[in-house]
Amino acid sequence: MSYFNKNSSPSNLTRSSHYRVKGLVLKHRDMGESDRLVTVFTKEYGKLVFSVRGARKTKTKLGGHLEPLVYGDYLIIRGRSLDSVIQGQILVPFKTIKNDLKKMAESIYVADLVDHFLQDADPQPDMLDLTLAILTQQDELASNGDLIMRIFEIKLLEETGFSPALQRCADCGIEINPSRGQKYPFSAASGGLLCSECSLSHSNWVRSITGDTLLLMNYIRSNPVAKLTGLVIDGDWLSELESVSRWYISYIVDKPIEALVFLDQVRHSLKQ
Amino acid sequence: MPGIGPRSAQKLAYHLIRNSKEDAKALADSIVEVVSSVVFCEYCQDITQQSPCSICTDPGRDSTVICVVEDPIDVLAIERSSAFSGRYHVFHGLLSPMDGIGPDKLRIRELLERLKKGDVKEVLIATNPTLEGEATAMYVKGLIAPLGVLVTRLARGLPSGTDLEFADSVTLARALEGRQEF
Ligand SMILES: [Zn+2]
Ligand SMILES: [Zn+2]
Repeated sequence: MSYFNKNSSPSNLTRSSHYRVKGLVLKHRDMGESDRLVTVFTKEYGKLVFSVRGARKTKTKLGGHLEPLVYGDYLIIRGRSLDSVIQGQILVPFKTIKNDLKKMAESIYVADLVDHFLQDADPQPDMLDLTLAILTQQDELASNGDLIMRIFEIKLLEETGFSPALQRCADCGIEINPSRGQKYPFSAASGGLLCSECSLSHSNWVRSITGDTLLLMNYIRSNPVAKLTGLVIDGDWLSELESVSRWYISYIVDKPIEALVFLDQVRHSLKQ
Repeated sequence: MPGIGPRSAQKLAYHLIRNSKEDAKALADSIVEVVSSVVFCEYCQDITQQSPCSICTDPGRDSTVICVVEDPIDVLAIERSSAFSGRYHVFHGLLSPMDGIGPDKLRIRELLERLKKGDVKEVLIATNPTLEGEATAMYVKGLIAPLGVLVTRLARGLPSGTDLEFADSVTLARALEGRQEF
């Protein structure tokens, strides 16, 4: 469990007793009588875990500055096993997200997925920028959450080096030009499309995918987030993309993504 | 154990060793006795010596208002504030999506059963002003609203990120009295 990883303190610093970070709070957990542990995706050092003393007491504002899905500026003091946040300032509160159950469930899924893909203390400033861009769209747009989640998944795969092969065979490299209305074999293990010959040697973690969805994935991959979120895409099309992305991500992450269960429950309850 | 860190545990153990073994045994016995005599109230799900609990059976309390809280400590905090005279419902947790704590792990179904049965006119959701508390409040509101019961939420007097149980009585009373439709 990364919470108790004692090597998460940034090591490339001088011996000064304090340092500052900017970061997005991914999650928190109660500790002891009134303290909390927070996991922060910092710009400077990647994912770090801090303790926050007295965070749950009502006399302090620090707890509110370290709620999940807050982007803030924090002053940290070094500790023997764990560094502590002693001051904080909210830079972006993402307030709208927290007043809407579906947006909140989606954004928690974003934070959970990022947490799964991040190693401790490994700086990933581009991935942080992507995450903040996605949360900003969530915070500002009325409702296009399903599409924003799909954009996020594809961009995250790209950022983490798991972007699937969409225009060539993932095994032999031969060029493939997907066309609409056709179906193609897609392998999670090989990481993308397979030509008909290579698909014969795979049986596990292979599924068929329509050319339409491949083209959509490619379109999302080649355009910036802000340009994509206004798209209007047919529900069935988006559903296939969701099913493929989930399946592929579950192969890569290889453990349950808890926040996804909650997101499904919320979507289900809103349909009723 | 909540509230007992490694240092307090050490102090307790030291205290017990310094005193006689009989004292330690008496303490262990009384813990066992308390644990085995505690049950959940069949209505509000609070922990009690006898079900239904004294609050649920008190005719002087308003049975048309239910205050929903995370755990039994919150009931004590609200009772201390003397600003609420209705009844309670204890969820025994909050939705915590990243830890896999979903609606099925909380006593939400029991609340819906109570609402379907009776004369409840208002549900006051008094979960913590944290991400988990807000998620729980919004989720539960979605379930209750179709039943035609008024749903209210504590006024925003408590700083975000904090625990209800640490709020002083005056602040808590103000948040209870200033509750608003949610
Ligand atoms: Zn091939
Ligand atoms: Zn009761």
